[in-house]
Amino acid sequence: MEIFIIYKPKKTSMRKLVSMMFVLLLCSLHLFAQDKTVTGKVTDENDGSPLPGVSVTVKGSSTGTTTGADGTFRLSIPSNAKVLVISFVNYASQEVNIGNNTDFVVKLTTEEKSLAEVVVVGYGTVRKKELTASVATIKAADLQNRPIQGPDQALRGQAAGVTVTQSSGTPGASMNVNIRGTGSINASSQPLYVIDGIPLNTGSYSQIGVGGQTLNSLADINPSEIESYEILKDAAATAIYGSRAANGVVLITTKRGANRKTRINFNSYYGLAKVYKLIEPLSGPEFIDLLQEGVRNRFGASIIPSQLGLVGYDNAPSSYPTNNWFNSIFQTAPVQSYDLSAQGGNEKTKFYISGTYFDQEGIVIESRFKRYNFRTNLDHNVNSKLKLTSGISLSRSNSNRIRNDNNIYGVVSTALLLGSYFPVYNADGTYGRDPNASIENPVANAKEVINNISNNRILANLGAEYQILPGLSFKTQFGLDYLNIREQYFIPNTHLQGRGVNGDGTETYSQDLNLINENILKYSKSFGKHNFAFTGVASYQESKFESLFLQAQNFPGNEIIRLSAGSVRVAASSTGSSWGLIGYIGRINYGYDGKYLLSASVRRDGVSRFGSAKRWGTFPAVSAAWRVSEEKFMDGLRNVISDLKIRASYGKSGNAGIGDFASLPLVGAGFNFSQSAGLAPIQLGNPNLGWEQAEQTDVALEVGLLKDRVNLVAEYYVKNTKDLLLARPLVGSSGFTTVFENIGQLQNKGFELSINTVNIQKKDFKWTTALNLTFPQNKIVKLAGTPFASGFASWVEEGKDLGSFRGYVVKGIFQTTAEIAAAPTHSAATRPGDIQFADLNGDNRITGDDQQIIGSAVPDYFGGFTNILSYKGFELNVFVQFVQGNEVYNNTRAFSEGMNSIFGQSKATLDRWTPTKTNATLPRAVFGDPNNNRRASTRWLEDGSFVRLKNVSLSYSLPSVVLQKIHINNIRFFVQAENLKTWTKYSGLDPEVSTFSVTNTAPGTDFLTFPQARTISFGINLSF
Amino acid sequence: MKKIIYLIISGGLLASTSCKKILDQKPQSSLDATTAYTTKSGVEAGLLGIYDGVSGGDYYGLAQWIYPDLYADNLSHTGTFPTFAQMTNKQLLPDNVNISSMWNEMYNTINRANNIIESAPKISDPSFNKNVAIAEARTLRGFSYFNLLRFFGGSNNGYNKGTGQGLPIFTTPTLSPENAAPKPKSTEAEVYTLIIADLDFGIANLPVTAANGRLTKNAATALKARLQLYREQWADAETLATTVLSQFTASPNGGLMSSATYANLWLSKNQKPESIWELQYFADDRNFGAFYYYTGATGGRNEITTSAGLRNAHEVGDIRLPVNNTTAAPGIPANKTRKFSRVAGDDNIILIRLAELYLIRAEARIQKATPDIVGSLDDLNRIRSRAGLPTSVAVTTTEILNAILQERRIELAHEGHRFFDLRRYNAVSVLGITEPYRALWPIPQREVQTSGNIVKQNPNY
Repeated sequence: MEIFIIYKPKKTSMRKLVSMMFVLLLCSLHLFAQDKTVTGKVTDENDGSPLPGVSVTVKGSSTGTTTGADGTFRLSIPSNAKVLVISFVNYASQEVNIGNNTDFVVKLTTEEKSLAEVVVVGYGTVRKKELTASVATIKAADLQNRPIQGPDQALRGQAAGVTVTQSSGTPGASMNVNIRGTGSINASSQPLYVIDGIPLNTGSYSQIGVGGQTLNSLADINPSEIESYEILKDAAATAIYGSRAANGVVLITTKRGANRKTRINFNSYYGLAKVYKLIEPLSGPEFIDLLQEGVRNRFGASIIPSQLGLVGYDNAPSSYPTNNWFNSIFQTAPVQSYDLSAQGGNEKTKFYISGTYFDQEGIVIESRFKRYNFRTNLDHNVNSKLKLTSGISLSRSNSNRIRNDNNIYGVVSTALLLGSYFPVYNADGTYGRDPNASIENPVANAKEVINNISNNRILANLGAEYQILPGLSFKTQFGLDYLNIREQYFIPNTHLQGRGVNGDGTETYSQDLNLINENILKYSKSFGKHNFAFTGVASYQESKFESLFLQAQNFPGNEIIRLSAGSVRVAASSTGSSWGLIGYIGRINYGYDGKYLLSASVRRDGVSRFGSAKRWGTFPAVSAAWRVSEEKFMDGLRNVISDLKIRASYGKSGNAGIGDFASLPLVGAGFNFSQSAGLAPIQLGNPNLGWEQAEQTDVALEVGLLKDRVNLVAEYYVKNTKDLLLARPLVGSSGFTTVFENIGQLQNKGFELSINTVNIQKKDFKWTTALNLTFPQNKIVKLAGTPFASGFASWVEEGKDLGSFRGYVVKGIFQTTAEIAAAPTHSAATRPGDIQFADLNGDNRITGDDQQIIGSAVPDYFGGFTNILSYKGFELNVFVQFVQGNEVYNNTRAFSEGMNSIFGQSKATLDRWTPTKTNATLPRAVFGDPNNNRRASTRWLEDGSFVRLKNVSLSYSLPSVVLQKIHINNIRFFVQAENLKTWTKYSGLDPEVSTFSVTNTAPGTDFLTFPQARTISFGINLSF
Repeated sequence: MKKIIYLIISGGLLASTSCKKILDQKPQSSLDATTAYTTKSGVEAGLLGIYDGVSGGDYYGLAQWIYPDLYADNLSHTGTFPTFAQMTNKQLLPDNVNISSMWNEMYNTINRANNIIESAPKISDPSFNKNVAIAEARTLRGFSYFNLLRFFGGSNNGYNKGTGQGLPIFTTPTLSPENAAPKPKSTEAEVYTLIIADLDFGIANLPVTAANGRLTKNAATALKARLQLYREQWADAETLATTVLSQFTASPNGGLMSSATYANLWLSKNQKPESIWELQYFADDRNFGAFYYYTGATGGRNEITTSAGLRNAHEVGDIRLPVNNTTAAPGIPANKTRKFSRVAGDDNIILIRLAELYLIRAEARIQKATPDIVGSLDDLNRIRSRAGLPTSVAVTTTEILNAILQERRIELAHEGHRFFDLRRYNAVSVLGITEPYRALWPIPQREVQTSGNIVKQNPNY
């Protein structure tokens, strides 16, 4: 309903506007009437709908006009005019001979992966057919109606070589984006994001830990303002970003105005999200039965829980009630988005303005993410030589967060781990709680704790470009990314955590200001068939971060949550940090006859983070392409092979993604004692700390078949990351545990395949398919010193995958004491029903040495598969995402099937070993687990492969006949489903989440993680 | 138009002139390590940093006093940490993260001390008392090596038996990655030599009185008495204990808190003279003691609880029972301890007190070459009478020794002594430990691996 309320008044006002413009148009025609008047109509060839705003010009002159709302134009032309050029965004331009005609009917066709397409690259654009580097383009229009929060989420499954994993399904959560594998061990492995020339601040600015899930500053960016994403993958594309490019670069281009009639767009959707899988807990009686059995197994048949100090577990199991916590913490959560924008302009001034409201509630109660975005992009040509560009975006987001993952006050975690017989509320209205447990009632965790973040962000850029001579231009651009974050966190005394301290309040404030100035000189020149282009850039960037952290406790009740009310001041601290970067860039492109293409670039970067000896680094790249299809000898094959290109590149890029002062020996403050200020050493210095360098080689074959109805890109890459910024482990007895050094080497290599086909193209029916497929390989070539552990079972060792799991190997379950006696020694307390582990080193004892690599989080292959079917106004879009051959370490089960403590257990534990059930799959229940059945082993490792129907959408666009009558350009209704169905053997909530999202060394680990939701939404796209 | 262009270009140039500044960024919340300890104020703050290390959760803030009672029979594990379960089960794995955290924290404290021991002599400021600063740093270092040795060193059958495991020794600050190269374990005897030298320097140079929390001559003397007890240097242990105790012969209860005020030793803070050395905690500088004991309903996490064994080991009428094993009351959960009662974390932690010295002397007197039965019983009965108990009925030296060890269990419960006392008498089998090597804790797996096996694992782990 709301949609129409907004729409109606707009329609009337537009009508007025249209008629006024018509009047003006007539006036000008009268004034400039020339020799001849031509008229015509431009329509879409596919559906015959009229195309408004199409540019119609006389070739070789400035005379021109644009089509009106009904697609018609009227133009006065000189009598000697020969050709009309009809051009429109996203359509192939047409040239029409004028001859003696005065009335034209022009049908424009949409561009099919057209080779005329322009690709955005670092500091410029390149025609796709002349590209010598590996760049994947994602058009935002293809993702338009999906309920996507931020730009990183949009990349998932859309391009070969790009892995996107989510640490948590919580709204506004961070994504782990890896382009061509995990490129680092201790430094950042995330790509550089550049939006309209401004490198973005990324990462989490939250100062309040909530478990594994972190805050994602990319969630401030509104996907609906985005025109396209370009993913720069090989060194030829990335090296121009030098020291930050080793993990690839994502260039984001926002929408801009155009020389055409103003178009107003309104897009909106509303959806409902729901959890699609649950872990079933034991009933109350089953839980008590297991607990009592575990206590007996450990301490003797006559021992009951109260003798261990455990309260309330002694009664007959059948006397306990059952409560499934999941029912109380999951909800059907609405998601909605409203986006209004206007886009237009004339030859001098072009504009794009937009405002968006996005609101997503989490599928776990009390979690929510709301965002408001405003953007204005303005371009103005002062004269034929000077052009000004600007863009400003404001965003405000509010998140209500809940704690999760490895946190005793997490909501999903406590729902899984709190015994199932406690009620949500007691009869007196207080929360039901396990008197023995440290963990809180899940509903109290969600409802009692206030954890709000508000985030303001400004992205702005201002540029001036001056055409000094034909072919020579100079541009200077200033950019700013400013974000500030306020957190308010309050744990009332009604929550267990706040009880002991009588209310616990925290407020934080952080701001990060990133300023950049770039000066770009471009020169291009053609001599015959030789084309040269030169780009030179000087780039200066500085980033300043500061933050406050304040905490108070002991509040007079829970009404005032501001810290002024807390009588005990616990913390008042502030900190600041900064870094700077200077880069000088040169690039030359050379092309001969559009057939032989060469490109070479070099960037020299200086970064404040490194030791004074290693501050500057040089990052060169070369690439070449041969457009075989342009050769004469291919002429005969042109009907079959419409395009054929071979390209190769080699180059070097760097990674500086470490702490701002990692090279300095530091003594830190705050090591206070007895309320006097103390100091202590916190970091060993390394004046030789320098770049982590990625050398990448890339070869590719690009083929277009059957007039480009089939497009194929096959690509092979080898990326060697050297001089890793590695936190080398030190013996703890030295007083330090790590030091940053440039040691070690990592290799990522792989094969990428992208195929786009137009399977059927009839007048009313069209079917297209897009497939991307990646076969990644990863190896730690060299490591400093000894292997080390990470996460729960992750292991970093030379010669192995980064993402390997290590642990014990389960052999079976001991059935008799004789078996235990005959087997290698486990422990003095091992009994029948315990797990027998393999004695890998044959010393007849199970020790720490009996562990080996048991799996890897690196898949054999992964990809995305999209099919779009359109029939008349209907369009069905089916997007499937898949990952094959990776393992997930399910640490959640180590708790929910641990059978070792008072934690709630899952239904799987019904299949546990007892003397009367010896063919069980699980070991016995035993309190305290003296045999350590829970240790990191193959027991918790699972196949993480999955195929997911990630998105299905069905839309209907009203036919142009109807639209014309109501003077509307386009109306489309759609319904879509995200995460509709997942096929996997994985037993956990979601195979795609990883609890250590920011740790490169521990991917593929599930621990009490907030799963992704299934979202069904419907909406409308309206433009007039 | 030209003006605009010049403006643009000069704008660009302006940016480039600030080049050098862009690359020259300074940390705002930390100091350059090469100059931090070159001033009086820097060294004084660094000295406090050592105490802060001792106060940390992986040291005396929790680990050092919980683990020896949990890896024994004074505490039961009612919580959910699998790594704690390993302790209560006496089935430690070398990769237990609590072990490596404690090891690292103790050595981190030692490195803080080494920095001050090296820097303090270079301070020329006449208002700075170098010797006291060095004495504090060295005492804290010796104390830390002693604590490491208690867990990771010695032999299956006790300490100072001649062939025990020692520790890697670092006596100079780690200032560069090269300094951090792994060192093999020194012998147990070499570790003692270092500890004794450090404590002796402390005894010689520490002041008689100091601010709460800071070391005094008595504290260093008392710590050395504890060390000599472990080393079975009975005569020296007695002498050292007497050095301190003799100062309080004229005081009521020989310096001890009275029976009536016994619990105030913990419920109030800095109850001198019984409390000799006490770590100071505040609302903004906390420990997790009470939080680990207290139940969820009282604001804690119920990880540990007084064991039934400890509860039942109290004699009838022992006034220490309600301190060692609480009965439920408003805000107080059952079966916890009054030694940790502030769930907000600002309980002080007493590191050594006069009662322990009386028990040290009682043990030394009965164990020395010519046992001093009367003296030993005097000391023992001073503790018993304060606890509201009749004088001991023990007669023979063995009986008296056993009575003393029983008294230590009760008097020093929840203070991190139990496991070590059983180790000293090769009695860990009373804990159900059937594999004698488990009297020593494993060296953290991380340490062994990172050193490339230069730091050898303790036998059989």
